[in-house]
Amino acid sequence: MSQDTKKPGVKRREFLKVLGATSAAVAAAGCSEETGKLIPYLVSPDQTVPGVSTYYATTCRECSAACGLIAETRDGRAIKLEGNPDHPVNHGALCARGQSALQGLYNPDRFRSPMVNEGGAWKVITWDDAITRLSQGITQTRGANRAGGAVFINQHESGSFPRFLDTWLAGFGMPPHLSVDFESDAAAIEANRRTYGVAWPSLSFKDAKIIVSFGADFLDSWGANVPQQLDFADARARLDGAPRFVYIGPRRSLTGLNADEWIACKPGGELAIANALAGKGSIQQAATDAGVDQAALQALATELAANKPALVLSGVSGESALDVALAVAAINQASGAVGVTIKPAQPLTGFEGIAHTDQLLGAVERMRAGQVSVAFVRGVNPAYHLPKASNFADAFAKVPLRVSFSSFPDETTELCNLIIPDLHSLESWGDAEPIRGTIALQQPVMDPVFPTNSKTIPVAPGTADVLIQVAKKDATVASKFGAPDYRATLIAGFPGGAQALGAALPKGLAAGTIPARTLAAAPAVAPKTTSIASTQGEFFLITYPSPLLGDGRGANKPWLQELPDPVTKVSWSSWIEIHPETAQRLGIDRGDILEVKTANGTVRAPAFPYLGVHKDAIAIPFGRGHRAAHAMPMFDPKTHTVGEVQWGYGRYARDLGINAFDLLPVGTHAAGGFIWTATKASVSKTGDNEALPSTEGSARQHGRGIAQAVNAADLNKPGAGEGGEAKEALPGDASHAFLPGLRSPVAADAQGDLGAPTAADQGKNKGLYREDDIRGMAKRRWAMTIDLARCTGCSACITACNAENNVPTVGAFWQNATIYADQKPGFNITRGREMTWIRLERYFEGNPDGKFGQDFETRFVPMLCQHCGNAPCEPVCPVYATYHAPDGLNVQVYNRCVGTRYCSNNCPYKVRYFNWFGYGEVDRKQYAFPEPLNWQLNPDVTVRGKGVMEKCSFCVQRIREAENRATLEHRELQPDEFTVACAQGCPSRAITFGDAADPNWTVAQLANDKRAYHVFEELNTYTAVVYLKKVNHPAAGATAPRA
Amino acid sequence: MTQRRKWTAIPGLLALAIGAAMLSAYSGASSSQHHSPVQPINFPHPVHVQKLGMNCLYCHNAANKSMDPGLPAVSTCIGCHNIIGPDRPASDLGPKRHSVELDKLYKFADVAGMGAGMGANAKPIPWVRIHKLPEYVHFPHTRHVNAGVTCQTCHGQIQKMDRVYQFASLNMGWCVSCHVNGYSAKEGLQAAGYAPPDSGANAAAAPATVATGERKKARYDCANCHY
Amino acid sequence: MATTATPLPGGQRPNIPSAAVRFPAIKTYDQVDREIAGTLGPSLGWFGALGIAILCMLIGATAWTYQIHEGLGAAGYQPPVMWGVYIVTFVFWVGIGHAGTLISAILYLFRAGFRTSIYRASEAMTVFAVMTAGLFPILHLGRPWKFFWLIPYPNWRLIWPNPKSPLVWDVFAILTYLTISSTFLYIGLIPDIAILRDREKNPIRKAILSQLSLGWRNSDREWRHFTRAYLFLAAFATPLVLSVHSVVSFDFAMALTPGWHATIFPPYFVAGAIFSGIGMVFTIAIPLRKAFKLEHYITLNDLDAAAKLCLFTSSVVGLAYLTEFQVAWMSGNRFEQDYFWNRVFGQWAWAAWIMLICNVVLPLSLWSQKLRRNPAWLFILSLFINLGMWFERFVIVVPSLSHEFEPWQWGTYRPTWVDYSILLGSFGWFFMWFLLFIKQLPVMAMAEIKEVILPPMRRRRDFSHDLTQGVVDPDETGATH
Repeated sequence: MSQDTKKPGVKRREFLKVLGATSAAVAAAGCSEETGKLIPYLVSPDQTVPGVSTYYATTCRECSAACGLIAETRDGRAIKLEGNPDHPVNHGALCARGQSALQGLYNPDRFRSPMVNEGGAWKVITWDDAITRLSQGITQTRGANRAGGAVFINQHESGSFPRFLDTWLAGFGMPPHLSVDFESDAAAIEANRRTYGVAWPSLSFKDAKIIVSFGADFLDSWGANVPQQLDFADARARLDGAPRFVYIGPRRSLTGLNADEWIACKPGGELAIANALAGKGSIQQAATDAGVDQAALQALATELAANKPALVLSGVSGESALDVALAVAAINQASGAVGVTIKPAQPLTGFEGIAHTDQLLGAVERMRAGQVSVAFVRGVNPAYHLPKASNFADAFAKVPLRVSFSSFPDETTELCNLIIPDLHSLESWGDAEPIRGTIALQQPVMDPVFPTNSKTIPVAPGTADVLIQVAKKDATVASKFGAPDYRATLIAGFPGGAQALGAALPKGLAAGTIPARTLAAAPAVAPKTTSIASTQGEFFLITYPSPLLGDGRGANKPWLQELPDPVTKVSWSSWIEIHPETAQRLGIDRGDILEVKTANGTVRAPAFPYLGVHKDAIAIPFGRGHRAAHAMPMFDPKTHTVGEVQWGYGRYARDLGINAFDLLPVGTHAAGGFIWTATKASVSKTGDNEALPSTEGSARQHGRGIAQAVNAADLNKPGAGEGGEAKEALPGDASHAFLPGLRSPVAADAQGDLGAPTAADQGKNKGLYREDDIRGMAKRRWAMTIDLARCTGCSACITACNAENNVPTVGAFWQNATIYADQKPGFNITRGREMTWIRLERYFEGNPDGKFGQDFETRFVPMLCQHCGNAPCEPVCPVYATYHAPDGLNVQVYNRCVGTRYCSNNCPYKVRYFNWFGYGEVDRKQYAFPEPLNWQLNPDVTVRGKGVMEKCSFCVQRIREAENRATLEHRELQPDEFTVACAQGCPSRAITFGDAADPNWTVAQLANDKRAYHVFEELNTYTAVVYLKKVNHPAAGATAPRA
Repeated sequence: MTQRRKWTAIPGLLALAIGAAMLSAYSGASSSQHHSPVQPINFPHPVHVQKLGMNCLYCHNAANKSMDPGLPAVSTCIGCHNIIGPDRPASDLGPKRHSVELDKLYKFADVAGMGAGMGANAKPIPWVRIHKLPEYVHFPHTRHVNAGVTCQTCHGQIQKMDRVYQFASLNMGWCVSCHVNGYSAKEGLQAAGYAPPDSGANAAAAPATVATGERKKARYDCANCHY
Repeated sequence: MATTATPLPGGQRPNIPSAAVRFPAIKTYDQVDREIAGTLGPSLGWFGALGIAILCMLIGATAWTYQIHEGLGAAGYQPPVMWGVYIVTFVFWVGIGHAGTLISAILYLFRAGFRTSIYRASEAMTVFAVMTAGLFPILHLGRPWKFFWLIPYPNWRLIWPNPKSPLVWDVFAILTYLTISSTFLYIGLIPDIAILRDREKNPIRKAILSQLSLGWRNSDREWRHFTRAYLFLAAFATPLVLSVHSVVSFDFAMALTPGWHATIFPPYFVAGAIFSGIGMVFTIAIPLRKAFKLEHYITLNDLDAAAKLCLFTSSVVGLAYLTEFQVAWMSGNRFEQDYFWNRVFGQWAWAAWIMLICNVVLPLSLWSQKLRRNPAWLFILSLFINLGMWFERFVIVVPSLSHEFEPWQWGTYRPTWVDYSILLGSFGWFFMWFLLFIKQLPVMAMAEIKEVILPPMRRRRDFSHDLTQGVVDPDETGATH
């Protein structure tokens, strides 16, 4: 196939370079343009056609939920991940973290080869050498017969690997591995096990009459958030009988913001409330203990009693976590939830066999005592996750042989003395059992990104393969591992063998179960808790895993760093949430650098006044503050050489933000889980201030009716279309009547008599703009509906769009100008220069004075190019770089754009984004896709260069692809035949795309929904994006706050 | 008007004309049309296409199903040239001779000798690219090929080129004019350089549209190629 | 015996020549030639000034080169504020240009006497101001090397610029304005060039000058043609004063943006333009008359008259400001009202008040004749006016964009050193040209001044003999024959 030698691989990724070339070439020679070389295959691979995508089903490993993936590969490279529609867990949806797996695969900081640390310096070794060293190391420990003291800490995953690993360890006389997942909720798991006998019953929000969450952030990172979100959205989108959702906790997380009612108890107050609701203890006592309004609590109690079955969830992470979880389980049982909204019969097996923090701490203690002979770490990063107080580093240093299988530099890997990088899950074989009875298969969707440096080992092996090789070197163990590699092992273990596996791979699914690990009950470690009451400080310190970066794993993926936090909208920085009222009292403004001090440590970070945090508490997210900065041999993509580079956790995460673990004591609760809310803290102003890298302009919509809502009660009244708050009528408006069909009033004469003049029509032929034109564009009107009753604000659509449309990230500290310019992470964001084509606006309603109150509402609005039928941006462009296509698209022609930016000035929705720097040009420091990140670029979409405007194109490349396919098959487009990236990824199915001019498309029907409205209708822009009003379920008596 | 006044108009018009010309030149009107670089192997299209009657799609096998036309893998060449070695007997293709070009091919493919097949150190052939559209232009070969646009319409009569050169200017006006004014199968066949389709045997074989000479128009909407 | 009334002998009506009032201190033609031609030829101070100008120009040029290389992000743009210092400065310079045309063309048609001495300087100012302004639309492009796509020319893409776009109208407006005003300047120069030619010794310069003077021989026929041509061009340039800045104002008025979308913009901009232009005329003319010792050419009367014009336009501008607020208030349009509130009392108050004080409050001082006739004050005031008018454009461009329909996208704007350097560069560029001009060509129209003073009489002596007869002696009135 045809490729450029200079840049082997992805085409069309040097848009402006070429533009430059053309003009330069012309100026220089006139006729000779450097066109490069064409490099053919040696042997063309079967099942791929150059320039045509191939799709592989596999399994997502970004969290323990194990969602199904469909990986789109082009010319041997994975370029996009979609959810697997047939998968029982995620039904085709995919969260932001799942989308970003690609940036793990192509991460520029991935280890290219094994490395060994000799005398404090890292040096690259061959694969053979690495494997030999490993097996020698193990043999020694066995010789010294200290194998029993080995510790293998693995990132928790379901499937066959854990058992395989145990067998391997057992083979060498080592104890089973610790399967650690820092994001798992130990208390909930323990309570589930005690109550239902399974770790994680599947939840059904649909069947609940009311949903109550005690700090269980099932939309952020608690449990398996994609299926939960899907189900929650379905439940809430039911226009009658949708469950009310009450959130109880000191901080309103993304989940809390989606609740109809927030009961803001103070940290630790949950237990009293849960008990009261469970019937133990009186309401008013609970109210006083938890510091909440008694009436509200009473109302909730009665409501719970009235609406059965309920779905009550507990995600509390205080010292009382387990008790709350158990109380909650009691409430559920009382309201007959078991089997209806909580289904122990279909457990999510992904949560079985998780080793909790207490076991990890136990291992650490053994290390400190010098009992540990060899330690393996794979995918986990305890040096970062365990509070400084645990002195992990010192203990770890006492282990003679420390092996890391991590593919990225991180704090723990740095402390090791042998690195054997694992393959990425998209490069390797595996399986999982996401839900009992279903095996989800994981197959490599492409060859390993990096070549091996060994003659005898042709392809870089994954950890499992390495283990097998090691085993083969040892006579006693070899027998147990007959299979040549892990793939063979899997096939052997698969019910039905190779045949069945081959049949199952296309769908990536098979019926059957994977035998679970046989685990001796973990030695009960006494919980180490210091009562939060006893700690010093005026504020409770709430810490929580970031919904995007998780417990910190995502920190080196620019997509996730740049993706604004769904709640605070801050990116590329840590922040400290404090309630505006408190902030005012202490004279703290947004961006003031605060110093937070606890008994265990001190951090400094900018303040973010946030309505949704208890006034006696401050909140800090985890995920940033990676500090590892050992000199690692780093492969330089430019020079293709290996050099000593200070990478730390990776170029995107390095020296960025703070690590809240520094503040926490080493605390585990009764279930052995880590206590996130473990201490109080004192806060003081430092006097410095820095602009928070936030995409938020004004958090209020000033009555402009951008995000509209309607009360469920009003919804079924006649004329509900106008229900909810109508935005104030502006004098001189056109009719506010909703315009169905969305035909552009201007499309007909947009380009005048453009058609080819023929004698018959004297040039009056409107060509493309004639509806019966053979080229058949004018008969379509591409449009989109966004259901605000479904949208939870999770922001997955943004990442999906970034991946599909080659949208550059701009926040890295080197992506600013050079001379006398701020070199600070997120600087471009503080300048409002973010590039994401779709953004999630988060507007607050009610509680305008910023006093501490619980009755404020949040509305999320995905805002993207509205593809106006009568677009203000079009007439002002001097060169027709943006214009109206006959099929209703508002088109941006990058290569025609000269960059006057007039279109953006004239866009009421402000959805046009400008390339301030050469984000798309390989040879610039601002380049957003350093090798090999650029392997992910979508060849169907131009990479925009310096100085051009860009914006949402309604995935025009997908429209063209579908049209091409239809034409080649001599048929019309079928309704709902394809959809756009954001709609495809959306885990709450809020976005629908299609041809609104054809009633058979779903979008055409939704566009006429009674909740439908256009944003800024009064401007007569005839937008093609239709929003469906959010539906509020206020508590009886209360009314939804107005804008 | 008098002579003198006429005369005064000339410099003005001249200035305008020069200005326009310079702008056109600067704006890249001059394309790389007609350039014909030396290839690592002087592949004789005429022999393969005209004498042996091979179909374009045999080597450029993706042209009818992908954006990319596809370039023959080295193995494709060796497929035949495993048996057809550099030493050529006298035939209708010419007198007995030794083909230097095939030696080059064997070198690239690391072929020990006839029938040996590709060697371990085979290297792809670094063909010099001739036809290149800018990166921001999306040209689906499949749409055009399946619409009956003959290869020669854009690439010229490659079957007659001893050394391939860029036939069309490939600039935007060239594309658009065809999309706007349309294209008839008849023209296509004529462009291909074979006997006019309505003559003799061809008439039967020719597609129906040839007789009618119906012109097929295409979209000239910017977003059809630029996105 | 009784004396009887005695008539004035000669029965001649006493005469006071207008020259006596206009230029009391200018006596003869050769005085004019001597004094004005005397201003030519380089001086040390001039070299100093030119050096500074060129230095500033180079700073700007460097900044621009850097900006092209790095990308427009080097400037302080901060979405949603997509236009900033460059467009502000563009409008500023176009505005400056207008006073020149007003003075040289419109006042010519109205036969306003006070224009004679200042029009050449201001016409030159116009040409150079437009040359400066013309740079900015190119300079603010994301891809300046593609600027020519805005010009309709036959091309192989078979596409044209978008006639609906105000930016395309701008291209035409600016180019027309540049062409006409430079032609106008040159035509007016021809007789003076001829004078210089005749005085010139250096053969090379003489050759050049004689080429430029198109062989002017002062013949009666030439003068007849000259005046016709000049009148025609004046008439031709007059509408441009109105049209060009109206078109520039369309850049904003045609947009949807609150604060831009207003019908009042064209007149408002034209008035503002003339106001700022007069300001710049003061800034230039007052030091000039001092440096070149031309106080008796640019007399206090001239300054006084110009100051009145300044006062008038200032009040027009002030009215326009008020009207804007009133429209916003009465429109009942939420977006509009929010915006204007934010402009004057919100985040942009500082800029808005600089504008109001410099453009409306300070000029009120011109009601006092003392100050109108006080060059020092006029000069200081003119500096404030320039500042104020720059900020007027700033207030129109930046706050409007920073506070539009979408609250989520409200923002602010912080220019960087690149913006400031290029702003500085534009002044350097302008003054470089102007300084070069004033030392090569007469900064005052000798020919026109000569039109005002009395021509030298062939029979001068005849007059003097009957002084005794009580003829009003011109010398006593300070006038010249």
